[in-house]
Amino acid sequence: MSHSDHTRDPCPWVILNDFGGAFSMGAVGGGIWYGIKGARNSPRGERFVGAISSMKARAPVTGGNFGVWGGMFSTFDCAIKGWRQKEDAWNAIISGFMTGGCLALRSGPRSALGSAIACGILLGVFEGVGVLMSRVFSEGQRPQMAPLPGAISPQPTSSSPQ
Amino acid sequence: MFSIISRSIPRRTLVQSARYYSKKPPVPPSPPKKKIKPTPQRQPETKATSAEEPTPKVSEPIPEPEQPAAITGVPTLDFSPPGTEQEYQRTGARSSKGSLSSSERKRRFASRVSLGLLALAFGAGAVYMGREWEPEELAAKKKKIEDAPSTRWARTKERFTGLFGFFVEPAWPELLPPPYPPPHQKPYTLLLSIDDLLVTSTWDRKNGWRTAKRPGVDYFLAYISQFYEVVIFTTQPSYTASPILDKLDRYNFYINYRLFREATRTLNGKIVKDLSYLNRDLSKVVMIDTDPEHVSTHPENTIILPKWKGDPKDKNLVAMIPFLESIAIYKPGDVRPILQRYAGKDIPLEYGKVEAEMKAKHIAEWQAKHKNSAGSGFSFGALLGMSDTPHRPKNVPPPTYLEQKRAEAQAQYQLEMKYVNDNREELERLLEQDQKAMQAQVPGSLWEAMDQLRGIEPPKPAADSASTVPTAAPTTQPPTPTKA
Repeated sequence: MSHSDHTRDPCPWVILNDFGGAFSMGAVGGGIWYGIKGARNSPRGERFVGAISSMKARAPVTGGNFGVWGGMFSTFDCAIKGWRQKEDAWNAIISGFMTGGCLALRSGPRSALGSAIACGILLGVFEGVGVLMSRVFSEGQRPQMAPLPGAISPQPTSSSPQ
Repeated sequence: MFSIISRSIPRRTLVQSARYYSKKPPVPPSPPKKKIKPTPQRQPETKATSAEEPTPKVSEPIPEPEQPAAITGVPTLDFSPPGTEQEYQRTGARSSKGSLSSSERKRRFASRVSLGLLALAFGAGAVYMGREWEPEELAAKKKKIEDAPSTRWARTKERFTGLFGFFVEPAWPELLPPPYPPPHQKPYTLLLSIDDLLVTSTWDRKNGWRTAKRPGVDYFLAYISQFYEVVIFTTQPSYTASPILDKLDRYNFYINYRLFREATRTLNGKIVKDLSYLNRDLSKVVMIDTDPEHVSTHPENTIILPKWKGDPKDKNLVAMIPFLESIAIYKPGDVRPILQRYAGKDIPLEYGKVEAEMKAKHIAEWQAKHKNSAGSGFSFGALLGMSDTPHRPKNVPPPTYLEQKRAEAQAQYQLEMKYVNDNREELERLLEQDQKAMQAQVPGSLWEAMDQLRGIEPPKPAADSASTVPTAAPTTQPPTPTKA
């Protein structure tokens, strides 16, 4: 099976990448979020200390949550790719469904199903928007007819051999 | 603390049990169990509705037929507040269980109406989608009325799946711009894939992705582009394929057009390079690919080569040249029967045999002719299954028509290479200029990108690009984004 996407690592390794990427995204985002929150919740004069302690307490947790989500998603994505031997939008949708379901599994099958469907729809929307965007930007890739008698002709030798 | 609790709890249980015993005969044992829990909750309620309190008192003397023992029997030890008895009396008040507030009822009504409307709309849409084909619709689909699905259900299905065509079909109905006017257009189009044909990519943990050029790929592209309009058609997205192509064809001499992922079509979940969108006469199109799945719509136009996995001694790509150039030299009317004849065979080997045979025949002919000193036309095309191409054998030199043309093409290739080597600085300069102009065209901010998408051209760069002054473009454009 050929890997069409050469910007990412092939399958088992990409899980590590995704986990780390999602963790750092969550940690940085959570750091900003809880920094502001901590500063706002502290009394005047203690704002900086409050922001730092809030960040230290909560940002790694957020990062971990994100990381679990990303790693799980990537694992499912790889498993589904290996199983279906296809690379299309359904991979992401199915793995989003599974991830959402697995993460909500402890709150019972009903809410797990609900969360799974919500996650699947979300990923479907992401994929759809991705295709839409690539379509919009692909207009720049559309083959254009080169100007014929232009200065830079496609065949330089037609003018060169003198 | 503990004493209070320990005292109060037995007392309450005593009370309950006393009540229980007093009511035991008529009532089944389960209701009192239920009652134990509600009692503490009910107490405040009864105080609030003190106006109703008289009712149970009034009704108490009226002997209920079900509970004669509770009233007529031994005097009860019931100290519980009278409100708890309410359950057993009918007050005429309606339970709130089945009833809805008016706002809730309105909401439910609205939701039912909208659901009904939605279903109605779906039904109407389905019926409307099943209508007869309209002429412009058929024209857009490039189908005749006989080919289009004829039943109502089939039309509905076709139109409905057509809604998702945006995600499935190539980005443009015609992938390539129309061919050049006659003297400039090469008669045949050669479509090449990238992966495992021109290059191959490997990944390992130490180095990540690495891409290797196939042996002879530079020569292949440079040489074959004399004969064919070379188009790269890949399933890779442009952001991974473009850098590879920029390396393979640095000055944009050999590859005429590039088609990426968005030019492919998704058919039953698989990516397919559908040539019917190509905007070229398919009898003049040769596609070389390594994956039969990608060409499943047009196998008759395709040569499937085995995948190249990085063997440095590989010669398969260069070995394809004689076959391809002979097609371009003899100019058959339709390439498809020829390609089908060679389908599944080792083309270089098979074609080599044919060419050797032709050569032997040519020599025999020439020798015979030399003896008779009489000239006669001879066609090699018949051997290839092509339409007869008139061949004028030279009287003295033995090289065949094919060899002659090949020598010409090779001389031309040498000239080209010499030109590139001699003018490398100039070409590099032009390339750099081009890249700078391109960078200036790229929107600097999100707002500019939005403007471009909406088709609003930024005023100054547009004027520059229209006049196509490449030297002026890089110098004048950088200030404009800062102003805007």
